[in-house]
Order: sequence, then C-alpha cells, then structure tokens
Amino acid sequence: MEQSQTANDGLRVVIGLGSCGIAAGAQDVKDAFVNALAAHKVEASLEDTGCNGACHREPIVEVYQGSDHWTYGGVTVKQVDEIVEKHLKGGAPIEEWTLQKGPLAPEVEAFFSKQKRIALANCGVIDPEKIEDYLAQDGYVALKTALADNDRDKVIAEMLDSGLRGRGGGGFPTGLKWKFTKGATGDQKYIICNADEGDPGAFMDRSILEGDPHAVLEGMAIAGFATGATAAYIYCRAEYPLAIARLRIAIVQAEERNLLGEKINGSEFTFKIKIKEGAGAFVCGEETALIFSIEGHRGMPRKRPPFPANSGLFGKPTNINNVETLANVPWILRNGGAAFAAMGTEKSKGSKVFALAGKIKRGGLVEVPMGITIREILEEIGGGSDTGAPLKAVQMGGPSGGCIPAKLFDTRVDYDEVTRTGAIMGSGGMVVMDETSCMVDIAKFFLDFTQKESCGKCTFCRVGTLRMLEILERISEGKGKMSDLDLLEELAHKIKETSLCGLGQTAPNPVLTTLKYFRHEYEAHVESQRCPAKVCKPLLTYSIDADKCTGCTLCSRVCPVHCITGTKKEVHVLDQAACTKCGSCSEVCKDDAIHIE
Amino acid sequence: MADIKLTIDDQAVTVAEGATILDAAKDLGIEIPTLCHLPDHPPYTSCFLCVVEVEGQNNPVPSCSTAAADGMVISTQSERIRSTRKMCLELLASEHTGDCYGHCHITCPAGIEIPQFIDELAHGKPGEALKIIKRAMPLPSALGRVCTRPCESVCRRGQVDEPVAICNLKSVAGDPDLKAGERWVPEVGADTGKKVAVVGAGPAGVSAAYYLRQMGHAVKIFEGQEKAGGMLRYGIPAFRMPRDVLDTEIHQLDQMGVQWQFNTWLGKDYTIESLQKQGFDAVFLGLGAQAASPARIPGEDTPGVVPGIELLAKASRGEDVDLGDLVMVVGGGNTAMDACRTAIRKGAGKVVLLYRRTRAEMPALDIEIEEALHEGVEMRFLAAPVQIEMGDGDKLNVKCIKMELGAPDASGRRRPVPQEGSEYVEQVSTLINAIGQKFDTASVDGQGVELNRWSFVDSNPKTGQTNLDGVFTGGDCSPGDGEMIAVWAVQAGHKCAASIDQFLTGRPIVGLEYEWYSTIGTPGGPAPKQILERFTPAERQTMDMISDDQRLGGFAEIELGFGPDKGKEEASRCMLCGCDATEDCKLKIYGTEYHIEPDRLAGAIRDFHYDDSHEKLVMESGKCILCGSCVRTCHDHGLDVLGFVNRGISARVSPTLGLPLAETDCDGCLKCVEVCPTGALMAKPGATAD
Amino acid sequence: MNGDTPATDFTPVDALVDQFGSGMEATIPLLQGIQDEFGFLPLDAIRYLTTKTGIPASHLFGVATFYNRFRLTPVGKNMIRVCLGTACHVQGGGRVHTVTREILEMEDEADTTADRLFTVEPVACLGCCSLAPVVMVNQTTHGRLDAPATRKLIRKYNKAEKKATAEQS
Repeated sequence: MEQSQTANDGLRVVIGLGSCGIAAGAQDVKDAFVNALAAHKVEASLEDTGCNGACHREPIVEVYQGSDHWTYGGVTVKQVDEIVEKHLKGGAPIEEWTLQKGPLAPEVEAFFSKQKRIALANCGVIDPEKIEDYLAQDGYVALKTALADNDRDKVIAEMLDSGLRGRGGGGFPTGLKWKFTKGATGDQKYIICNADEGDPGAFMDRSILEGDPHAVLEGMAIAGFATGATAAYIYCRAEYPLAIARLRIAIVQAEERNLLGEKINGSEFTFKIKIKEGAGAFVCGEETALIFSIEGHRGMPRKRPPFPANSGLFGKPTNINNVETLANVPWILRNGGAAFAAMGTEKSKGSKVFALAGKIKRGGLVEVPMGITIREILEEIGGGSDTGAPLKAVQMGGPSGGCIPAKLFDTRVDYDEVTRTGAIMGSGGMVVMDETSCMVDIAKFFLDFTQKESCGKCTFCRVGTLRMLEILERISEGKGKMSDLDLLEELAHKIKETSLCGLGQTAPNPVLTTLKYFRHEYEAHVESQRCPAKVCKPLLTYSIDADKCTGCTLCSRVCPVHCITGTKKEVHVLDQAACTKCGSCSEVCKDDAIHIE
Repeated sequence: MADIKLTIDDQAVTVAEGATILDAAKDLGIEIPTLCHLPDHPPYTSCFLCVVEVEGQNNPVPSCSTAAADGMVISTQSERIRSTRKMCLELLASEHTGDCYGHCHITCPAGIEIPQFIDELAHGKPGEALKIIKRAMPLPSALGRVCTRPCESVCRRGQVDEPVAICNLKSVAGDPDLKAGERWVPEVGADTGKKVAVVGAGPAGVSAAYYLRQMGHAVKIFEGQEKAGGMLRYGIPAFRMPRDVLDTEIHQLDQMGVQWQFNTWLGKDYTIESLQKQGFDAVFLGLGAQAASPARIPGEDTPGVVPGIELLAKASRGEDVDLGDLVMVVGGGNTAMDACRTAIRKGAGKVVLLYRRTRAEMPALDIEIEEALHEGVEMRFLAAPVQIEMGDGDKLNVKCIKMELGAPDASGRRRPVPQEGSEYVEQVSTLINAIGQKFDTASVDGQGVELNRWSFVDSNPKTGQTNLDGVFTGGDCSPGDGEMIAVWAVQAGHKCAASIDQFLTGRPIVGLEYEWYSTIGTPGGPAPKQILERFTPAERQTMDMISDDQRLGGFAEIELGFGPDKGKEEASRCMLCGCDATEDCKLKIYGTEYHIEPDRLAGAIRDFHYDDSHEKLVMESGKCILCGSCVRTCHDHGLDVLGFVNRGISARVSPTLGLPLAETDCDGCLKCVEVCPTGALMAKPGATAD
Repeated sequence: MNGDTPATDFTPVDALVDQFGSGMEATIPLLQGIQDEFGFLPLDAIRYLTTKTGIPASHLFGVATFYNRFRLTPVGKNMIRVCLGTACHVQGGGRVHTVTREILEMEDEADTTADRLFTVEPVACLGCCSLAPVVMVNQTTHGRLDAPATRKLIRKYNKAEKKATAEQS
C-alpha cells in the first residue's frame, strides 16, 4: 500500500469540466474519483480542464503519469472505481475504455486528424484556472514581446498580414479595424470583447472562455496596446456562468503578475479589463446595440456611420472583437502573420472553429483550416449522421445564416464561398439535418427566434419578421397558399434591404435559402398538406397498426388526452378526432405499432 | 466647411457638410415622407419610410440619417422606393388597432360622417349637423325616413344596448331646415361653361345634379314622370315618405340653378345622341329599375295580377285601384311590405303575404314587417305560387306549393326547396307580385349602351363610366357593387359627378377620391371590450306615432319624428367612434397616397388600450407606430414619463412603470401630442398646455 | 398585477448602489443585483432605485423589459431552463419542453406552477449543443433527453419537492 502511493508520484487525473462535460455528468464522475481515490488510498492530483471539443465523448478523463497519457471517453460513475483500482493503483490501463486503444480509437483519430487547433489549442489541455498552465504554453509571450518592442504599427502590420477576419460573423479584417481605432482621435479609447455568443447552435466562445480565458485576455491587451486603448470590457452572456467565473479568476491572476493593470510588465502600457454581464438579448451581438447595453440602455442599434472606431462606447473610439478572433491574436504574434496566412484560401486565412451539432455522429467543436470543404467537416470529422441516414442539409451561421443542401457540400469553408450559397460563415455554428428534419419547420424555428429577438425599432424587422413567421405557421398547418411563397420572398427582400442592423438584414436568410433549395418541401405543405419529414404536427395522422400492436397499454397510459383505448393484450384503437398529435404514444411504443402519416 | 453638391431627382443642390439627404431634399422642395423624424433632433431612423435610392448603392438608404455626400445621385420616387414605402406603411397599418372612422361611417354607402353629425345634434346644433350630412348626400330628411340603414346594423352601441337611431337622426338634422325661411344649400361653383344632362330625377340623378352644380357645371334634369323623386315618390308610399318633405328637399336643386324637363322619356322622346347634339358635354343616366321582375310562372299575365311597383305608383298619383276583398302579396322585401300596407289603405278587405322562406330570412326591415303585422297583414311563410288561373267570378285561383329550407345559397340565406305533392290552391281577388324590380332596357335600346349579363347598364363600379365616352351611370339601373337602395343611388350620383368633373376637366377618371383608413375588426364584428365598458346602457328613444285610426284612414306620415329634445337625447347615446387625429394623421395620409393594401399582410394586431386617466390627454397605444417622437420630446421636457418597454413586436411606448398617465409625473404639456404622427396621443377636447 | 409586493426592506439596494454607482451605465448591474436579491424585479424596488440614483423609472423599466433575463414576476422555488436552441430544436427540444410542462401540470400562459415550486423558462441556447436536447434544473444540466427521459427526470424533481413540502406542513 505504501509502495503503490510512491509509485504513483506525478500521477494526474484531468477531467473535462466545461459546461458540456458537466451536462454529460463530469461533475459526478469527478466526485466519484474523489471517493475512489480515497477508498483505494491512491494519491493523485485531480485537475480540471475545459472542453477538448469532442463533446460527443464527454465526460472525458485523462490520466497522465510521466510520459504516459491515456484518455478515457464516455466515462460513467460506475467505471470510476475500476479505473482507479486497475489503472491508477495497479498501473494497468483499461485499454478498451480508452480513446487511444479502445474500439472508438479510429473515430477519435478521424475527429482530430484533420483539425488545426489555434484558438482551441489549449482547450482541454490546460487547467484554465491556473495561469501557470497558460504561461507554460508560451502564454503572454506575445504581449510581453509587443510591449518590449513598443511598436504599435508592427503589431497592426502583423495582424494585417495574417488576414484574420472577424470570427463573430462579420468577417471584417481585424487588422484594419485596429488600424481605424488607432487612427481615431480621442482622449480615451476602449476595447470590447464581444462574448455575447447568441447564435443558438454555436458554443465555441463559451468553450474558449471556459477552457483558455487567458488567451482572450492576452488578445485584448495586445489590441489595447495596438490601438491605444487602456480600458476594456468583456460583454459576456449571463447564461455562461462558468465562463464568467473563470474570466474573473484569470483577470485576478493576470493582474497579480502585472500582465494586466497598471504599467504592464514594466512598460508604460496600462490596460484594465472589466466584465459586463449581458442580460440576454441576441441583438446585442450587434456592435452599436452592445455599446448601448454597456452604457446601461436598451440594446437598440443605431445607424452607422459613425462607426464605433470613431464614436463608440461613451462616444469614444472603440474596437470590438469577438472571443475567437481575440484568441487567435497571441498565436499570430508569436508565429507571425504569414504563418497564419499560410493556411486557408485567398481571402479567408487561418483556421476556423465550428460547432457541430444536430443529426451528427461526432458532434462538438472542431477547428479546421479555412478552405476545407463542408463535406470533409461533416463526413470525415463529424462521421456523418447519427442515425446513418443520408444528410440533407447543414444550417450555417445560425439565425442569420442559411441552409446549405447536401448537393453543395463541396463548398469550401471560405467567407465568400459560403455567402454565395445564401448562408453565411457566421460564428461557425453548423447544425446538421437529415430527412427527419422539415425545412419549413427549420425556417419557422429561426424566424420565431429572430422575431422575438428583434429590438423592435425598425418597422420592417419588427412587423415584417412577425408576418413572415405567421405565413410559415400557416404553411406548416397546411393552410398556406402558393402565393404565400411569393409574399414570403417579397417580405424577405424588403426586410433585408431596410433594417438598421445585422439582425434584420439577415433574419430572412433561413427562409430564403430553404425556399431556394427546398421549395418542393414548401409546396408539399401547401399543395398536398403533407409534411415530408413528418414534423409538422397538424399535417400528421396517427393510427395503430393492428398487426404490430401487442396490447401492452403503454400508449394508452401515456396519452395526455386519453384518446387511445383498449384492454390488455388486445389491439388498441386511437381516436383520431381527439388526438392532439403530441407523439407521446410513438415515443413509448416498443413494437413500432404507431403509424404516422 | 466645404459645400457638397449632389443631385436629387435630376435637380442639383448644394448643401453644407453635415446635411442629410432629407435636409438636401427639403432645400429643393422635394417632400420625402417620414414618420419618425423630429426636426432639430438627431435622426432616430426607425420607420424607414424616408428611404431613397442612391446611385451605386445596393439598398435603399434612410434619408434622415444618411449624410449628403459630394456627387451623390439620388432618386426619391423610383418604383422600388415607392414599393418599399408602400410595404412599410402596410406593415404599420397591418398591426394598427384604431378606427379612423366609426363603423357606421364606413358602412354607409354614401359615406356620411355619422358620429360627427350626431355629435353636433348632441350639442343642439342641427344646422351644423345638416351641413355635415350634406357633404355626403343631398337628402337628409328623405333618407332620414326611408333609408334601409346599413349603418345601424353595425353600430357599436348595439353591443352595449341598442344601436343609435342613426337613420332618423338625419331627419332631426334636416327637418328644421325644410321649415326655415332661409334654407341652407351648398355653394354653387363658378360657372365652368360645361353642360351636363342628367337623365332621371330619382335619388341618383338628384345627387349627381347636386354635386355637379357645386362644381360649377350647368345641369338639366330630364324626367319621364310628372314629378321628381323617382322611386322615393313612385315606389314608397306617402305614409313613410311624405310628399311635402320630398318636394321641399328636392327644391334645393332649383335654388342651385338646376334646369328641369318633365314628362319626357329617354328612348321615346329623345336619345343619348340627341342630348350630345344639343350640346351636353356629358350625360348621366340615372334610369332606375321600375319594371317588376316576372315570377316566371304560368298565368302571371292573367288580369288581376298586379306588379307591386305599379300599385305603389298608382297610389302615389292618387289613382283609384280596385283590389277586391282578398289580396295576396308575394315577396319578402320592403316593397312587398309597402304593397301590403298600401293595399289595406286602398280598400282591400284582407291582405295575405306569401313568402317562400321564413320570417328570419325576410329582406325587409324588421320595423316594416312589424308595422305590416300591426296593420293586420297576415303572413304565410314557406310557400310560393306556381300557377295562376282565372277562377270563379273575378277570383284568381292561385296554385301554391309548400317549401322547406335547404342549404344556404350565394346570399347566405337558406334556399327554399319545393315539397313535392304539397300543392294547394288559394282563391284571391288580386295577386300582387312584389318579388323585385329590374331595369327596363327599352329606354336605351339601340343607342349603343352596353348591358351586363343581368341586363343592367354595364359600368365601371369605381367611376360609373359606361362604354360610351362621356356617358356615366349609376343607381338601380346599374347597381355595380352596390345594392338597389336609395342610399346607394345617392352615392352613385356623387361618384359619377366626380367622374364627370374629371372627364370635363381632362383629368384621369377615377371617381371619388381614394382614401385609405384603418378600422378595428370588421364592421359589425365584436368590439374590444375596453371600448364597450366605457358606456352605460341607455335606452334607444322611440318616436311618437299617429293613432291607428288615423293611419289606416289615409296616407299621412305615421312616425312623427324625434323632434329636437328626443333627438338630442338619442344623439347623446352615440359612442363617437373614430379618431380625432384623422385629418392630420400621417399614417392615414401616406397610406392614402401610397394606396396601401395592408390586408395582404394581415396578422396579429395590437391590443386596444385606452388611457384617458389624465385630464389633458388620451393615450391609445394600439395606434402607436413606435416612432419614439413622444419619448424624445418627453425626455427633452425633462420628465421621462414616456419610455419604450418590451421589445420586438411587443415593443411599446408606455408611461412610467406601465401606470395610467394620471399616476405619472406627466404635467400635461401636450408636446407629445404635437409630435405624435398618429392618434396614439391626443389632447382631450378643449385641453391646452397651460 | 405583476411585480407589486408588500412593502419590503430595500436596504440591499443601497449596498448595490454603493457597489455599482448610480450612473446610467450601472443600470444593468443594479437591476441584476436586485433580481439576485429578490428573485425578480419588484416595481417598488425599481421606484426605490430611482429615488436613490435619479435614473428615471421609465428608463429602468424599459431596460428591465428589454432583456430576457429580467423578470417582473416572482419565480418558483426551482428554475427549469429548457434549451430551445437550434441543435436542441432539431433533436426534439420542443417535446422536452411540452412534456416538462405536462408533468408539472402548468396552465397555458403560466411560466410558474400554481404551487410556485417550479418556473419553466425556455432559453435560446445553453451552449451544450452536442448533448442536445438539454435541460438545466437550477444549476444542474441534463443532456441527451427525450420525452420518456424528461418525464422521468421532471417527475423525480417534482416528487422530491412535493415530499419536502408535505414534510414541512
């Protein structure tokens, strides 16, 4: 017993405790490790890390000992005791549970091999609550070097060389933005980190903030130095409490080491960062709305110009970058703009993080070089659909983006190429759909979102998006007319043309792209009152297949309106007139006897 | 500062740096519509009505907040801009919850501003009320007695207790003038030198002449009968439409300089062509529909079968008719009721009405049915004649068949279905056929006038134009979208007068000026509860009537009218629906200018909300278009009472914490009312800032 | 009516003003603070904040009604956030939401159960898209749900709460 403890010197157990890991049960797994380590009297350091992106394999536990490194995926509380006993105590890894040797090894290999990790480099690797871990990965080297060189133009030149474009969705060259803010006159300038990740379907910013907060702080400080800003805000969604907690820790740690605050690292540069919690408004992803929000107002955008670079927060020159953009900055300055620009296409350089979700086998965060195709991401990295059914489309760019059909999956990941499809790169959300997804329903989902998130200022966005939603609702209830499709398009174009901000200008995109690529689905709803994907409830009919029903009574017990009758072990009958088409019966039927048409 | 040169709608203009496109356009006298722009304030840019096209830019830009730049080429009136503005207004109007006008007003075919005239009556000013009615039609006292009053069926008061007696209130406004020494007539226009022939002196012709004279055109009315009034005289008995009232009211045309020619029939004594040869620049055909619709049954030519319209005309002229002891009247409309009641007065022993549906489906006004029953008419339902033969003596044998109600027909009423084998025979002395009237085409035969498939004169329902250049028509001979009732005929005369004026002055012919207006729900539909709750029930006034002896003894008018006191009382029951800001509401003005069709974008609308807690102003947030002008003005005033709440489609302007205005710091400065482009904020009557 | 509470002690608001200041830019942190304190934004607290800071009540009310996070009505003892983000929607988040409300027997428009034990709030995205559909009960996130799993989960919480309430009384 004494011996084994000594033998375990340097033993580290690292658990992915990002929000996704926690949602998958990582906290319970961690607690189990605490108990098991105590029970088996094993001495090991139990550490947290962020998400390594392979969310589909969470909870992930990594065991380090000397040069030995094993990763367990999909760990359950029940497995913990055995891992501790056999591996940590006995020194024999349970190989079939690991991602290196287990049956899933090839999949893990496929998930990571095509990735190029810059913004996510430290995520799932370092303990985000320890600045030492970040420093060990060359953290703050770029800032220190820039301050030592004391050449702001050189920093901006490097950023321009890198070709980095805004990763929040705008795609505006970051170096140019910095240059404008540097060129603007003002006694006070500000840097704002936009961490109000609002696209429902993208979570890379959360993951970066949770997994590598210092990279963002360092990027902000460099931006402050280059532009002449001395004060900064991180505007972060309140829905990301873990990210906010880790940012607070990181700011304190960086200030303690004089890497933020007064006269950083002995230079003349002073830079202070405050955190502002967003209160929940998608439109605050829009620069001018975000600024109003920090100033304490309703987040209602105003017309640009003037641009924030000239008149931003409190009327002062302000540079706003998003989390992922800033996380790339230290790497670019350490490795040179040219190294970044070596990756990607002519106009889209470097790497980009995508959030893979929906009907996909290996969902999670992936960072790939610009220029690879959507097909490579979905099929090679993501492994295709989770059900094995063919993929139908991928929604890119969230509510502002569009649905790209499978026939265009060879489109390269490039701002302009993606825009040509009618979608946008956006912040990098990729929600994958197969034949069980109804495109009218998807369009309706996004319109419902943008309609609710509209600030209500511009007429077209405020009323127009509601009217579009109402039309889509009619169509999904089988009450649409063919002329509704024209009206949708007319409204869509007018709303795009006449809205102050990006929300309104892009809100119709999901409708326009689904109309463009999946018009036949709309027509099926309108002309034959049929939902091909069997999603739109009012168009469905439920019945019980007498040949399959075994009379188990499960369905009749679960039916909320009691429209299924029958005695035990006899065929049940469903009263279609009373049926609300909720789907409860088919969810519980074990005999596949509920027929939906 | 450097001057900036730019071009707007092909006109060059120079402005100082910092000017917006809107400023530059104003310098040129080009009006760009806007709803949210407040002069001397930074642009707010929410309405997007002020969009213009800038050459070289993909999308329209808001002119209020786009700086004028050197060399800009701007278009403010392109097709794209017009369609964008139209949709902008349609979106705003599609969620607007406000009544520009009362439902009575918009339902009235003549478009009488009903709440306005009633409000004058309530204030004891019948003369002012008369002027308001006479803007929309010339015969307040006549129609104040016989109109079928579509207005009352939609009156909101009906959802509180009973509809306001709108129809009769017209005669409360009109009658005093008939007895006045100096009568009020509208001003006649300066002579244009143009001459118009009006054929037919019924309500359509009278109305056309009335308006044409106000426009300054010379008018001569040609009438086949010996007197003017058309169906008002020859189709409605004097006990409902007293002749002195009719005569006096039509007499105003004499005062207005109208020429007359009676006892002269079109198609017999003259033709349209001959009128044109005589030098008439335009012709209005108000020919009416005096021919009885045939019953299409065997034996309807048998002596003793009399069209109802013929009976009424004879009675009107005071001619004797021998009806015998048992009269059967067939039909269910007002003419049938009038025929029954006339028959009684003309000595019929007994009058039986036969109607093929039930009482519920009768098109006649309820009050007329009641009066007929009161006067002793016996009504038999669900039966119709199928054959008429001469019987014994002077009697007619009328074979009838029993009916049952089947599925609803195009009119929405249930169709009567004959019951096989249910035939029976009735013996009557006279059968009066009052199932409807049609246009007698003989008057225009061979004159090139096109008829429609129902053998009415074919015309454009908007303008009254016939196929012949310079020839217009309306009323019963060409009902178009309307019904064959007097109030539609006066509207047709008004509409055609406008078209004729446009024709004579070489303008595009569009008929009455188009006007867009907003309305809550559909007329007659349920009103917002909050509107109804503001009123306490008050019974509808009833009119005094002459005694039963008096009425059956002759043709004296039965209803004695409200008189001034009851009239005032009844007028005060009016809920005065409609909006006080109608005159200068920008949404309405632009909506009209851009011919908006908000119904194509129909969907959820704002809730009705009425805050009259404050002594000086009323806030009706359903009418708010969120321009924010009041919020900015209130902020400037230093109070911040008004602010935005919620967001998206739920965004509203609200008093502090959603409280009633009276509970806020509002000091009643009324500056918000001044800047409100609609009627969302209105000063209370008589309220001033001080 | 929403938001009105019996006279409450608003001294915590003083501390918030000391912490965040009384400038316009403190609006959102101040309101957040009040909400953290009371569970929602009582109108009287907003009035009190106006007298304390001079920030117009209409401004505070405007901000409070603009952002999703602020509530003018009290919340239930437990907060259930149902994610209705894109990924969760595609994977059946809507059903999870319906079933949750069904199990808690919530009335049509209500966001809180009649016994005030649970508030159910749909949210745009919890950022756990790969585990969709996701529900967050208080601070605990539950992923990869379907209707039967949701039923089980919510029943468990409901039962525990009912039991606790019964024991108390």
